[in-house]
Amino acid sequence: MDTNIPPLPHPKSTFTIKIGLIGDAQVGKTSLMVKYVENVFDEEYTQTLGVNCLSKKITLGSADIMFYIMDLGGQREFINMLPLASEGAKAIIFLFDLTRPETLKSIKEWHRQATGFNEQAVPLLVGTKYDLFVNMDPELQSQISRQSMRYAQAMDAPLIFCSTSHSINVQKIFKIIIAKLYNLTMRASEIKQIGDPLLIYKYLGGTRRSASASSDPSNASN
Amino acid sequence: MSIRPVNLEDFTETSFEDVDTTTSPVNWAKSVRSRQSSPLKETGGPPSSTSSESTTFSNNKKRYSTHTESDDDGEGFLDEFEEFRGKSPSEEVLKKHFTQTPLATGRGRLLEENLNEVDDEMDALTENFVKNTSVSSRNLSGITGNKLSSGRSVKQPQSMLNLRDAKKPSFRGKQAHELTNSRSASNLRAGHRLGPKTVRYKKSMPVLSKYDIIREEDEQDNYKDEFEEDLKIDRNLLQPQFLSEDNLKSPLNLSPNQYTITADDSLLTPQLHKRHREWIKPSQLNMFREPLRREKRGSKYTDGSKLSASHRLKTIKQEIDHNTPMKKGRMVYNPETLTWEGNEQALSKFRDVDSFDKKAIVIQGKPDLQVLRDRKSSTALGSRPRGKVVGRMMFDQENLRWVRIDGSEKDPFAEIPDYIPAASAPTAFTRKGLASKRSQSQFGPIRNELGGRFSSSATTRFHSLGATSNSHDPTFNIDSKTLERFYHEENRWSRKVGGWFIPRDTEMEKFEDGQGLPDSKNNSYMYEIRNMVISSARN
Repeated sequence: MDTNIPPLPHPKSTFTIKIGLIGDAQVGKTSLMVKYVENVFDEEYTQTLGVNCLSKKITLGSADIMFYIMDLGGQREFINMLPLASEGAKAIIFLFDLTRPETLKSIKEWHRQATGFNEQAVPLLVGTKYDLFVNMDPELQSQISRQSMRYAQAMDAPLIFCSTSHSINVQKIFKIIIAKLYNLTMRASEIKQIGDPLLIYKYLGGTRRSASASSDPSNASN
Repeated sequence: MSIRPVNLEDFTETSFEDVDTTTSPVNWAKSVRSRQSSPLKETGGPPSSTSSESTTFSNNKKRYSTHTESDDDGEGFLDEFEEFRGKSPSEEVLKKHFTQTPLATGRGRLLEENLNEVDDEMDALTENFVKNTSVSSRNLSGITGNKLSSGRSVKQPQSMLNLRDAKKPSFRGKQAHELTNSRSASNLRAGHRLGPKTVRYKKSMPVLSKYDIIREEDEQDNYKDEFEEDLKIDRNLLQPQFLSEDNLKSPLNLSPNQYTITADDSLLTPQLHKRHREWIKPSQLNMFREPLRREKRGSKYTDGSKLSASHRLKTIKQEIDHNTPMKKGRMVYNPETLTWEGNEQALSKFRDVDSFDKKAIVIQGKPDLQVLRDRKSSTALGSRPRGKVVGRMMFDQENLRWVRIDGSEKDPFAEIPDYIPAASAPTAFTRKGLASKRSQSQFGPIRNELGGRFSSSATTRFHSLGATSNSHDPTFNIDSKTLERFYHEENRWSRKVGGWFIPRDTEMEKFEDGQGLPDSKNNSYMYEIRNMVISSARN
């Protein structure tokens, strides 16, 4: 170590969390990432040619949490880079477009492939473009909400409907990730009424982590 | 595979520095892991990197860049979590939380997997222990509570709520309210799972008893649950004859023929609530808007120095053709389908999602079939135990069809002839059948192939024969006698006229049809003719 650097008064702990964003093309993976990191939304579509990376640091008192977000291009030709986005990730966000139910259906395949590389990651199911979703037929909204809830239950993943353009539930996604990873209890109330931007997370996505978090029983009894 | 950070000169440090820029897919795992892993993994101790902008403190092995955007509303963020609510985020509290998991996950995956089994056992044991002691703990806490605040009732579980309410008002509130809405069993279970762990970090609170905290979040639900658990324990103590076997069977192992099974959409997703209010209009979207983050403090982010997202966004491009097959762990990349194959069992989780009837909840007996089945089951069912019986039908496993148990099967189509007479199609079919039969006869390949020349005669011959011998069922029923007669007939025919056709001729036709004939063979006999002509001319 360099001796010229004076000793730090309060050395911080940095915890790096890699997050993978996965889903069909044009569901809004890059938008969500940029919105969260930069708080910017751009209507224009830019195809991701590979894997996009952005990082963001959150300071929580004396600890820093570094989100390392990797966003995989949704086109099929980039699927060979899936290991890059999923391997070693602490959380994998599966995104689908609320206005295109077929993108929800393909979550099955994304989930199979991503969990094939990483079973430990906390999965999250995120429906995007909620602002456009509210324009849809109420019956269709109801069906899509229920179907995505079933998917979330099957995946044991928190379910979040978000709108990047209207800043709905974007920050929450990443707070939920921290809550699930570090076994914290979030205060944000769940949103369960169909038609609202669903936010259901309390009893989903905890099993994998709780298994690993409790792997040190002596820690738990302290 | 190479990684190309955009605007590299803007960053003195990039997080990709650690990554080998010429990694092959084989190296992916290594590079990814080393890049993202927590410092704790590397050193086993707390890292020394700091958070100040563009300052990097390195530990022994790795350097972690800190050029990333920092969110200064840490306290606001902390406030979102119940554990830090109302507390100043002291280092101890934070460390306690954040060090557990990375340490635990920092172990090798194999080790973790092994541990998971043990952990599950531990969890089960802990849960069991909590269950078994819940009554005593409740009493204990009641007594303690009584000491603390006289006048509270000890025996009523409700008093516990009151006690806690007075002690720790911050832990009550929205959560309890929400839990009353959710009735699904998974909710209760998850609450249990959370339970033992909450003990750890709330120890410092002036609690009444250790197990009191377990009911922290979903008090009312857990009370119900606990009473049910108590009942279960009592049931185990009962004599076995009182326990019905029905519990062991799967409740959904029912035949749809006997029950009306309705997939109730709202029951299947109990977490979701039906809409009572007006549907959200686009103009109302602001209701859900997340509060804007606070402006960044300090002069770190001046407009000039702050980089836009498009500049900071780094793209890892693929340099491997996506047609290259790969293997990674248990997954194999199939370049034709552009998918990773493997982990198929993950799909089984979704099986029930797509076919709702498997998760049906509303089941009603069909009265008419119920009666019928009761009557039949005593008689016919006993005599023929084989095959699956549903109602009055039994599945014939050999012929793969359903048959009536009582044998009183009436064929409503008995009077309708199977054969529908048609003018041309059956004729062609019959001829084909005939030809294939003949292929087994002594004629060999010559007669097998009905060349163009034969076709007319063969067809006419069939018609004459078919009219006489096969009047009953002209399509298929050719008995052996008729067939024999065909052979004799054809034998005679070929003896009579066969000399007129060179056998080689048909063979050649066959070759010309598509199989192709070597030129030498073809030409050799042309040459013979030529030689014959030349020699005769010479003479």
